[in-house]
Amino acid sequence: MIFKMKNKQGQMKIQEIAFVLIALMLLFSMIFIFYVRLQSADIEKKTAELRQKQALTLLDKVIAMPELRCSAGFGSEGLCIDKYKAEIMAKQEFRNSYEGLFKGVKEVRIKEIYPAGNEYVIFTKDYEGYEEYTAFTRVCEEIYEGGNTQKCILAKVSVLV
Amino acid sequence: MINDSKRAQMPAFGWVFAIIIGIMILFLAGYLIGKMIRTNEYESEVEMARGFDIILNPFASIGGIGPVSMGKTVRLAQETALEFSCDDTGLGSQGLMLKTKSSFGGWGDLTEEMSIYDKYIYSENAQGKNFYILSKSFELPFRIDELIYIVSDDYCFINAPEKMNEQFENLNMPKIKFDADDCEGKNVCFGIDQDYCDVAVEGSECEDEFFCDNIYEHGSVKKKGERDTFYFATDAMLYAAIFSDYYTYDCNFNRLMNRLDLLCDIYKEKIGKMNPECNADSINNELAKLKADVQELKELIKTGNDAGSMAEQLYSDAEMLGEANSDADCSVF
Repeated sequence: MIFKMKNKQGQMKIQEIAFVLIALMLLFSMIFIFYVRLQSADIEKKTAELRQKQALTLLDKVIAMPELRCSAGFGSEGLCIDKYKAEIMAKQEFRNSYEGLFKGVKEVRIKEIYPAGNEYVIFTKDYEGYEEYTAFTRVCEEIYEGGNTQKCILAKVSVLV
Repeated sequence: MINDSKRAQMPAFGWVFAIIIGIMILFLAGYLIGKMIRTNEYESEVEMARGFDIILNPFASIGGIGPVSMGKTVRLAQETALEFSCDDTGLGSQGLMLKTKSSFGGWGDLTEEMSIYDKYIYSENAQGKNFYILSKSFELPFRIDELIYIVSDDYCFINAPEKMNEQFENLNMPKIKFDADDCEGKNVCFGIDQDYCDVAVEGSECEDEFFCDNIYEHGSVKKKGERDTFYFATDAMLYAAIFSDYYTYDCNFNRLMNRLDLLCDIYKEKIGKMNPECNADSINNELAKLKADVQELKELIKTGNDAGSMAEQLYSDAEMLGEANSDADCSVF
């Protein structure tokens, strides 16, 4: 009788330990899931920040690209976009050639805004979900009429990523 | 008798069970903490790799503002090693991988390759906490893009031309010294080929001073332990040859030639749009010559032939094009 009682007590103790262990495991799992969620939220935030930085610097890069920049010969060392080059780059054959340079970008376009004028889509790709980042610059046409002059228009450069 | 023995075993079983479970919990906790630390390290490495690309952006667009070079030291929190892969298909790309010294000692794993499509980066065994980054416009004769050099070793430039010395002095580059007596690092010899030279630069003679600012505008570079000769045109390519391995140099050269080819097409189309009174025919002819050079060069590279001799021709044809552009009534570039 006494042995049976003690045996039951032993079983109870093992069950107690097992329950404590299960509870501990559950607690640790919950802490771990919470930590993973926190980390993934942090990673998503960092990714968004990096994407934003990347897009903003890409804007500088687009304006400075030799394929778009005004020629130095016209005395326009400053940041402006050559109208002729923009027209050429907007052609499908050139868009395709420069696809490699704009990986991960949905669209790059230049819009003449003051006075309102043309829009040049330098690059476009089908991506779902994007954010638009813009910068302002001048689009200049280099005219030769006996001497070299420039006719400039205020333009908006947009990068969609 | 049996009952007594079982009773005696009960406390012992309790202890053994607790010890086994304890060890399992400790092992699991240790494993998870280790994993978490490693994941954190890997995450910061990936972040660092992405950040490195962003750090390089100003270097890549500086040439758009004007004909300037840029030099800056990038200081990282941990000892880091950078590795680059390269793909020269079309405009191509470079892959950046990095690893840092782990908290457990030794180097961690290399990060996944992060592709960089819009930069031309040159480096050779870049490793350390401080990296010196320098950029220079590659112009042939119009700007093609910026070349970015990542320097982590010390260099001693021996017998370098005065113009080069002045360029680097303005950039305040601590990794490059021009005083051979007060210098420890890789010896880069200009016009000398001695045993102590780790890198030997040979310039080409310029018959007409008008076309060459100095004799190192085109020529060749030989490196100790490197089978291949680096041929260069313009000082931007010369620095690329000095600061990078042959694989990166060759691959980026092909990428740049593909870009130059496209730029020739853009300028040709631009001439078509310009006022016919501009008399840009001579520019058009020189542009066609340069494009033919690039095509020939690409063909030589594709067939595995030595394209070294083309560097001089490319340089002189580019100079002729530059001259035609300056002389024309309207500039094309």
